[in-house]
Amino acid sequence: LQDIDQLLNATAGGDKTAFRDLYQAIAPQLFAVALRILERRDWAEDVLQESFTTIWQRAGDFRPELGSSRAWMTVILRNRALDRLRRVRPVAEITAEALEQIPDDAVSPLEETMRGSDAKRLHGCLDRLEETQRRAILAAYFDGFTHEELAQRLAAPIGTVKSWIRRGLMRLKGCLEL
Amino acid sequence: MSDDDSRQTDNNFGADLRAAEYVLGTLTGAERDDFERKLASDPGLQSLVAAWSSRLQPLSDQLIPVDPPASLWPRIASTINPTTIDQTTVIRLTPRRRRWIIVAGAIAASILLAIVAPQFRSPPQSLGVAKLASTTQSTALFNIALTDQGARITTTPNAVPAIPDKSYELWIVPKGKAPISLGLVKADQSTEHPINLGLRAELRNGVTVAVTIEPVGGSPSGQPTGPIVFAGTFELAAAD
Repeated sequence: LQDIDQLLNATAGGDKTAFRDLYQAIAPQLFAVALRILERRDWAEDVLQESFTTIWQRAGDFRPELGSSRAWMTVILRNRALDRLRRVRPVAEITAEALEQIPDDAVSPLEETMRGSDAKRLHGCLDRLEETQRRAILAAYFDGFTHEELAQRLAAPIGTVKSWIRRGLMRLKGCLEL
Repeated sequence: MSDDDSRQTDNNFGADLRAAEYVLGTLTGAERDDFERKLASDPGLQSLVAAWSSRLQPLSDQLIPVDPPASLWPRIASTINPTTIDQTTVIRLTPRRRRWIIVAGAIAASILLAIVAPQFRSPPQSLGVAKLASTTQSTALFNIALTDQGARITTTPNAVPAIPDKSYELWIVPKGKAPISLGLVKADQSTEHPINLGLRAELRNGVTVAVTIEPVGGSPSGQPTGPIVFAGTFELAAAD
């Protein structure tokens, strides 16, 4: 992981070999994130390309004292993916699927075993949220749903969904800081 | 809510909430644009966003990596600089790694020559295969091949997640009999196991082959103790 920090740092200095190595190291993980949100390979490829162009241009903005380079690059990719999703996902399409249930996040034994300590802590804290809060947060993160879309899918008023998410996020933060 | 939170001013609290919603993706439209404009020049907001992105990062890290198509790197390389960056291949090795591979390759070749040369053995031919699909992931699998005239089974992982503090164990599961362990298999490289005549007899066409998660070093009882995470059917190659 320190490796990725160093590669991003060298990329900021215009080192193209480092940038290529950075791509090799992190692109498969970022591609998985894009595919999860967009569910279409062609869009995910476009978004991955745009994101790496942005990473090249803005590598100098990364501040290691604030967090990991991995998280910084994930924010760039997720923002691109959400922009793309919201351009292409018409409101009509969502209304038609309004009754579709958002699946709860059942955890397989394999996933459970694979989790590192950060992930175990986060999931431990997510498990302590109310179910509506947890489902709304996970659906927003993984499916890129807006408050409006979540309100339709969870059959709840927008204001209610907003407060589920806000209260859920703040409880999550409090739990992680324990 | 923690004491820390209640000490925050309403203003800070609002900023933290907006940072959280921005990272989660639920801040939309004009609010999002407005937030991004402030974010560009506000170090306080930048650190709130960084903190939230770190908090939620395990959710992205839990996804199984997927290799993008090889055609994507040249597209990226051409956008950042059309001439100087190496566009031909992403997997070019650095000189040091290449040197190690040459040395390791030379050693391996000489060993191989010592073993193989006297017998003029033909390249391994697969007598049967199995594709063990993951029971939980869409892309991960183990490929099994019976090679070396039926004397060896090679297990090759594809996008198989590593499992810290646990081992993957490979089993033949004959109908109506207890599973038979073939040994441990690795998530990141091929594993070979010798097959004796007894095992060879169990590797019939259509027999189930499975991988379970076991304590490090394998099942202490000789029978599976953990969940089956990969499974498939063994198929003998058609006779010549």
